Amino acid sequence: MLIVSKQDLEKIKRMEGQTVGLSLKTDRKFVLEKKGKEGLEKVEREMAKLGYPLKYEEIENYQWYPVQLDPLFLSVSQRTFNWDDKVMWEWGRWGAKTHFIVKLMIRYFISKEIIAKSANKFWRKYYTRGTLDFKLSKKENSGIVTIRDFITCPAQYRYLEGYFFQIMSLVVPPEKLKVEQVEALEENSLRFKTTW
Amino acid sequence: MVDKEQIESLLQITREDLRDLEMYVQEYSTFLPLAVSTINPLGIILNSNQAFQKLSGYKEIEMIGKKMEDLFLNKEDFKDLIEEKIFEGKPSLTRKMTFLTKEKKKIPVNMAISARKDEKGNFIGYFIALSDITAFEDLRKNLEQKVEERTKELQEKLAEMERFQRLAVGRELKMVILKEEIKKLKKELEKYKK
Repeated sequence: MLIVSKQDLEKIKRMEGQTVGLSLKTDRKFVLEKKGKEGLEKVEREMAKLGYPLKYEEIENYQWYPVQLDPLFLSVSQRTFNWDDKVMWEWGRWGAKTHFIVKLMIRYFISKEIIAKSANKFWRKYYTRGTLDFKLSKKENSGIVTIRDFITCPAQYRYLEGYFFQIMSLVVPPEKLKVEQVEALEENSLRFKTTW
Repeated sequence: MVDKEQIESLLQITREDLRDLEMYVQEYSTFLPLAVSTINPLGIILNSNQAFQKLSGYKEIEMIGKKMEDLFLNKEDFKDLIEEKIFEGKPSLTRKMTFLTKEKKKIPVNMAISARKDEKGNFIGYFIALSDITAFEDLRKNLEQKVEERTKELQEKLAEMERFQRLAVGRELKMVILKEEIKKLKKELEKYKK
């Protein structure tokens, strides 16, 4: 029996592009912290069974890897440890707090406007495929994140919600902040609504 | 024209440089004994080094996103400092503050705060460095206490001397009076003898 649903696996397999090694490493550190070395090895074994073998120690931070290794790791971990959406959301926040790329980009976390302006630049540091657009609506105290040309699996949707929440919480009051996935209006895209 | 092999080789060098740079930044941050943090213009913590985490008792993951003002007992002072940008134009500013740890322990610190700017000169936040001055403060208090004790001792000695002086002067005066008395009595005695 497959650890991830056939539907998710098909979706992930169809993904194109590459992701930076630093991201893969950061996400694996979360599993290491939550489940230890044994937990990480368990996920790595499942990944290998699905045809995506990659050991944590072998990941080069600034090497580009097939993008599938990113959402598949999230999905396999979620299934392996029976993690609910809340954990995946926390994982996203954790990623935004610890990723070295985020540390390099901290000069952009000074206002919503600057974040919106540099959103795609940010995306490009993680992935070679897809674009990220962040449109603000000052009247409604909200914004819409649109990721185009990038289809992934539900485990990563929650992760992204947590990630966007963490980044936005640096410039708007977190107690009012909400990030939720909303219906996509275009094909091959994802949409997230951010309100504060 | 640069061929594919050259591009790959240059890319490899860049990757190695980046990795070295990342390691250097991390090593430097780990080594630095001074507690350093980066905050954005709203006073939200974006980054901190190990010394800062050690001083505060918060892990990095707990610290990021916190308001820096909440880590000070005198949070209004800190807020004013950030909001009014009272040190605008100056490269940095130092202040004595009381830092609050995760366990709510109060630590006297010397805070250095400096504005950060991007390559275009836009204001992007602050660097904050804290040095724990507990030992210095203890020493200062100790010295103050000793000075106070010595002053008290000296004041007591002085009072004692004053008392003694009053006593000595009093005796002297009495002697003068007695001598006068004797003189008078001698004169009277002479009169009777005659």
